[in-house]
Amino acid sequence: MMNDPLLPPPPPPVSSRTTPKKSRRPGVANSAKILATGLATTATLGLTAGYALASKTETNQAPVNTGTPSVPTNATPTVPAPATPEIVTPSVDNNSVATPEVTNPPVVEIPVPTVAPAQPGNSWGNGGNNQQSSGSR
Amino acid sequence: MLTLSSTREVIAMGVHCRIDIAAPQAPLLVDSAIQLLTDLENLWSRFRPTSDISRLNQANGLPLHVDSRTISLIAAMKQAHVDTRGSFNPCQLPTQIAMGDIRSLRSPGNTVIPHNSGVFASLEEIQFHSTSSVSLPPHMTLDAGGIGKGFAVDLIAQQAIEHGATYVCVNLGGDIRVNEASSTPHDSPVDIMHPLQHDTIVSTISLRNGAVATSARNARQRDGRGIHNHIMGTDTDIVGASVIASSATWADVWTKHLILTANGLQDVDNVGLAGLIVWSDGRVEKSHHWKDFEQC
Repeated sequence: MMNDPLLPPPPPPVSSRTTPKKSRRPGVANSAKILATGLATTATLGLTAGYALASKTETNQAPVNTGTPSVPTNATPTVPAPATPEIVTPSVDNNSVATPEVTNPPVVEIPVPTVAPAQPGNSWGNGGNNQQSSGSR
Repeated sequence: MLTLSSTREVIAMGVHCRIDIAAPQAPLLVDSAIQLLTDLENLWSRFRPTSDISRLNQANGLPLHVDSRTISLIAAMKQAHVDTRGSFNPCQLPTQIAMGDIRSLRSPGNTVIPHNSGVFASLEEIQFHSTSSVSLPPHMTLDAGGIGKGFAVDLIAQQAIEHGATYVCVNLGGDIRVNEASSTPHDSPVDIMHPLQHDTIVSTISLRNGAVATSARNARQRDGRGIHNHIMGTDTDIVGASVIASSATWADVWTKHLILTANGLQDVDNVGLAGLIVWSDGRVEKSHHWKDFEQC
């Protein structure tokens, strides 16, 4: 055969396998590894489910009704506060401009003397210096 | 210890003031009384821009630190407004000023309030934040006026008694407070003057411990200046009123109720006080308890 430069080069020669191909049959070690992994996974799932079930049972445990409520006889029953809706606080953008906190100052009560009658005099006409009550003149 | 009597007469809070004190240290107590009167006028005058009342009127709703006595005065205003069912109303200054009641009748000084001030029918929104901090609602203004004089008279008398006076009589423009020990020979006759006929006595009463106040619609009209009626509210034919109570504060408050309420004498009786009213036609009407104090 001549070497024609216009023809593509011939493919390289395929070397023949010199070592015999090993068998791919799974061995005993691989089977044991799969078995161990399966057992560990099953145990983990079992423990997790067990803990979850136990926790759920404690939460749902109903209080024991002891009959008479433990309220002192002279206590005034109080009206339970109405449930307040949950207030969702909007997230704060840390990059926003800081504004001063406006707080309402506390409100206090100031006592006022009560109105009461006066005490009349008892020595009439002793020539004292009369005052005049005349409406701011 | 020798007891001395001391008397002093001054012009304060736009009116004539006379203070009589009997005590071992009477001259000193009178000096202290005059000083207290001056201090209170500086705190409550609406004609002085630095007074607590003027500063509150300009505060536009913000809390303000003021003297503790101003707090007590404003607390009394709130209570009086409630007890008289609104007859006593210390926040009608815009109406008074619109009618021309701007200047002091005794001394230089004008009343300055924000242009958007309004008349309020409720004092509930006045809030105290401590014994020295208070806030008015925006656009509200206060006028210490008659209740300020009554409160001042009570504080002066109380101070004198606490410092050993056996007798004290304070007369601030017709708001009179008397306190005397039972052993003193003093008598405190008070002539109640007619609001229209200035030389006419409509009643003479005697007090041992207590106060009497007289208010007249024309009290802020003097020598052709001022306004002919400074007590705003319901129109009645009542031109003047007097009330006897344990304190000059409450006595002054209830005079306003009597002038503005046709059946006010019954209300005054119901709270245990004594009252007198003068109608525009000159008639004088007295409450049931008035005779307990009237000299025959």
